[in-house]
Amino acid sequence: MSRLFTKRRQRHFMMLLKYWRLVFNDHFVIALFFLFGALAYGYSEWLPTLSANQWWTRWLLIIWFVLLAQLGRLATLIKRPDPVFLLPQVKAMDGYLNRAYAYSLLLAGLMTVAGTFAALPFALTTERLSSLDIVAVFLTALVTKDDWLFTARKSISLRWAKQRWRTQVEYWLNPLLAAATTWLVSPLFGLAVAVILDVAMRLVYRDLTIDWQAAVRMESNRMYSVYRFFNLFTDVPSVQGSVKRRRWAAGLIRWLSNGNHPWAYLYARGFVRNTDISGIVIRLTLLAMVLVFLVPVQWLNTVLVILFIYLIATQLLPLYRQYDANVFTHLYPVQPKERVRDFQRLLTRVTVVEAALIVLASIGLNFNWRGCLINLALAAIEVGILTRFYFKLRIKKLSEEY
Amino acid sequence: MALEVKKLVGGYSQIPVLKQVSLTVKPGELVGLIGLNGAGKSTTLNHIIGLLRPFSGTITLNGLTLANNPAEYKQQIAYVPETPILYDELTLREHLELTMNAYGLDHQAAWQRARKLLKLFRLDNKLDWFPANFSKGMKQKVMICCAFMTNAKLLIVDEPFYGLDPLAVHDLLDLIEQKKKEGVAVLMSTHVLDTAQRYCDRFVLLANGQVRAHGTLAELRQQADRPDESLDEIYLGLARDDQDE
Repeated sequence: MSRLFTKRRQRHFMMLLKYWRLVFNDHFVIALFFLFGALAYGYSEWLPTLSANQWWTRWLLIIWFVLLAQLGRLATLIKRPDPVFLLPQVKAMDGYLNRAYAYSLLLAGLMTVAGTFAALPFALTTERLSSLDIVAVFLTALVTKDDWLFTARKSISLRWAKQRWRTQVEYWLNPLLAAATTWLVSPLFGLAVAVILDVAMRLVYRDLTIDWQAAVRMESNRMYSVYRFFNLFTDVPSVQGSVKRRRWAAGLIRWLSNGNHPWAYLYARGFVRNTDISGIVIRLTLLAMVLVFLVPVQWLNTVLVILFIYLIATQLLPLYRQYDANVFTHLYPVQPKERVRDFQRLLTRVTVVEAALIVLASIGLNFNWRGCLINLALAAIEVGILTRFYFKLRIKKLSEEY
Repeated sequence: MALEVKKLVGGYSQIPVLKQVSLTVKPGELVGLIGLNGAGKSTTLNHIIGLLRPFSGTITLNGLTLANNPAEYKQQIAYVPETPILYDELTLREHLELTMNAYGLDHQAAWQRARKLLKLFRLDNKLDWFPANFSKGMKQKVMICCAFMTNAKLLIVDEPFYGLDPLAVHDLLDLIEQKKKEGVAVLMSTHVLDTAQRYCDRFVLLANGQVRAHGTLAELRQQADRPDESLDEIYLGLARDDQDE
């Protein structure tokens, strides 16, 4: 059975690799590079302005470490047909799940270490920490993560799967207890609390025979969110967003459609009602608005405006081929040219609205009219370039692929 | 001649599934395309509706071909697929409207036809529902409404009875009868042979991607030298002969 896990892990890696390659495509790496740089720069600018003994710094650290503990889930790689095919192997599944646990702990541990590293400069500015304390902070984070993963492991066992609310509480309360003692009392005490909790969990929750339904549900939820992430950048066949009617958006649909053009009719409804596509556009637009509203450094602000307009526009492109799997789109007596024109129309309208919102938000807290006007001018040029040249190019590429 | 398929060789990949298939459908005629699973029925239909490109051979529809007049050719075809294919994001009303837009139909006249069909299939109170959540049979009815609402000259119907309740099967056969009276050519694939025997004017029997026999029931009986047997028995005889080879 552990061979089975190894084989699955390899295949899983290959699949992830395939998608990561698509995620880090030409333009996105540059965008990411800038975003990361901007964040690091902002962080380093922000640290010296902090003075010690502010009441909220410790709470910020606690929140950070509680959230960090939620990162990295238990990857069992269990598949939907497993309950049927592996039914006689229930006992051997323990070995399988132990391998899965070790693998998940390794990945989650790496993320935890990275996250702790990121918080360290902040902690060192606001707290007085000895090197022993620093070691304790790292260990606490790792033990807490182990505790979290064990909670996930016991939540897919026949005996404990039904106590869902209790599992949820443990996911959040255990890291909170450890982090709170670390930062409010002392890191060494925090480590002690984390270890005690971890051991106590293992003593209380024994008899971990697998609950197939819960295990399949957990793993398919996990895979779904992985696919959804990749779906932001490329088409993942198994991700189908849910559909909401959104009656209130009837006016928006009418504005996005184009008379009796069938493709515009379809794209407008697909865009508004498919929660995947409209969801990502709305989320990214809101995020961009908040960011440019808060960032006062003019050049950084402008870079963010331009980057986000581009980033959001590219998220819309997969909609072009959303309906390729539907035979009827091939049967309609409609010229392919019309499809390209209608799609471009929709892209232009959405991009203009989204760009206008971001520029409007860039006025910021202190009504920086001048900066906002500069952003407006640059955004107008960018939208022009995007709609006139870039989209045409990408759509041509998309239609040729088919 | 409404539809004329001549020596069609085709398939999904490099390997041809269809070998020299020829068939015709006249206006006002219902032709049954009969064959076992994997005989090539749906492949033939997919070639006719233009999803697949023939390796060789020609398909003409009232003198038009897909290569020379794609829009006009498609304008003349309406299709009911074997498994219902719907848009997740569109309501029933919007499916109908989209079809009207795509075929460039006059909305008022088309809605008049659509309302009759919806009433017949008891869907008229579900116009604002998402058909993606309907049962299999109801989805199939939506597909039928969309196809029969158009004024296409050729109807392609792939295994229409599967999943429909007996009442709906009866209504569908009535609808096909009506379309025939309007001069529409209908090509229907099926393996419900006793229904086919009662309603189809002519038959094309496919096996292993080849036309094994074609003609009216009387002609088929003559060819197979089984004067009193039903379509079912004739086809089983042919299919068994093939397996023995």
